[in-house]
Amino acid sequence: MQDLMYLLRFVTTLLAILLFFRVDGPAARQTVVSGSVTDESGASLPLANIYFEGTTQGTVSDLSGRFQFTTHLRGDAELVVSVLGYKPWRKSFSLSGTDSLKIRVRLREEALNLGEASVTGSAFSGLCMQEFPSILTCEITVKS
Amino acid sequence: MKHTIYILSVLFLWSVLLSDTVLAQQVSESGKDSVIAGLSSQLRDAVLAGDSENIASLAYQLEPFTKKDEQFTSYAQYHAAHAYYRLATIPGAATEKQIDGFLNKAQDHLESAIDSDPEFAEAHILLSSIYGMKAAGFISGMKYGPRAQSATEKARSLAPDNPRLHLIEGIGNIYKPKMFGGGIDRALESIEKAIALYPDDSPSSPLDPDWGHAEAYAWLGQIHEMNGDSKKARDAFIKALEIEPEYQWVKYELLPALETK
Repeated sequence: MQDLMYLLRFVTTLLAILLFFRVDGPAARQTVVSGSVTDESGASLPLANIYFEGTTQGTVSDLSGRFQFTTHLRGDAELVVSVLGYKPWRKSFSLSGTDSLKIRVRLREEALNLGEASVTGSAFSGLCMQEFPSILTCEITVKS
Repeated sequence: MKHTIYILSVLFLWSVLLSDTVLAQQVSESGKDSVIAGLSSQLRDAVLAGDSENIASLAYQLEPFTKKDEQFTSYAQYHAAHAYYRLATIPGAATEKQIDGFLNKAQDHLESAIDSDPEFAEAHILLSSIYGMKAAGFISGMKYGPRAQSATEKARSLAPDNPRLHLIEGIGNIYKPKMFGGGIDRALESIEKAIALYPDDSPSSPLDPDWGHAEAYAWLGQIHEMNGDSKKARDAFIKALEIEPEYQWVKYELLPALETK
C-alpha cells in the first residue's frame, strides 16, 4: 500500500513537471513576427530570408515583400533579414513568448566587390581609374 | 521497489525532456544525405510549381549544409546553386540586383563544389549556364563567354551523354547569336539530343540531379513556336504535361498562350 502511494505521488509530480515544460512551453507560447522588406527607394523586396540567427525559425518574404511567421523562441534572439545583393539587417530582441513583432526593413544595396571590377581587363581598368574616382563607380558604369 | 520506480521515472522524464534535441542532433549528423536529398526533391517540385518563395526557402535551408567541408557538401552546394539559378530565371520573381546576387551565389557554390571534386560533371553543366547568363553584356561577355565555353567543354568530356548538358546548351543557343555558334537550328539540335537521352537518365543516388525532362519539351515547344510550327509546339507542350502533369509554366503559360494565337 505504501509502495502504491509512493508511486501515485511520483506520477503526479512527473505529470506536473511535464505539464510545466511541455504544454506551457514551446507549443503554447509563441511570438508572431511580421513585417515588410523594401529597398532604399521603397520598392518591395521579395524572397528575402528572415530568420533568427543560429536557428531554423524564419520565413521568406512574398512577392510584395511582406512576411509573417511564428516562433517559440524565448529570451534574447537576433533577427536577420537578408537579401542577396543587399546589406543584411540585424537586430536583437528579447522575446517573452507572447510578443507580436512588426518590422519594416529597408535594405541598402551591397557594393560590388573588387573581384568583379578586376575582370574588365587592364585597358578598361586603366580607363576606370582615370575617368572615375572609385572602382565601384567604374564597375557600375561598365555593367550598365 | 521504491528505487526501481524512482530510477525508471527519472529516466523517463529525462528521455522526454531531451528527446527533441537528441533527435535533431541525430538527423543532423547521420541523416545529412537524406536531408539534402529531401530538400532537392522538394526543390524539383517547387520548380515545376513555379513557386519562387518555396525555391528561395529551400535554397536558404540548403545553405547550412554548404558550409562544412564534409562528405555531402558538394551536393548541397549543387542543389543550392540550382535553386539560385531558378530564382534568377523565373520572370518577375526578383529584382535585377537580386538576380545578380543569385547568380553570384550560384557561381560561388558551383566553383566551390568543383574545387572539391573537379570531376563533378553536373556542377560543370550548371556552371556553364550561370557563366552564360552572366556573359550577356559586351564587357562581361569577354570574361564569362570563354568561361561558359570552357565549362561546357569540360562537362562534355566528363559526361557526353548527360541530357542536362544538351538541355543547357540548347537553351543557351536560343539566345546566343549565330555568329558565336548559337541560333535556333543549333538550339533545336541540342534539345532534341537531350530529349533522346532523358529516358536513360537514371540517378545513381537520391542526391544526384534528375531534373529537366519535361523542361526539355517545354523548350522544344518554344523553338517550334519560333519556327512557326504551332502543331509541333503543341505536341511538345502536351508531352511535357504527360511527363509532369502539374508543370505550371507549360500548363498555365506556354500552352494557353499558344492556344490563343
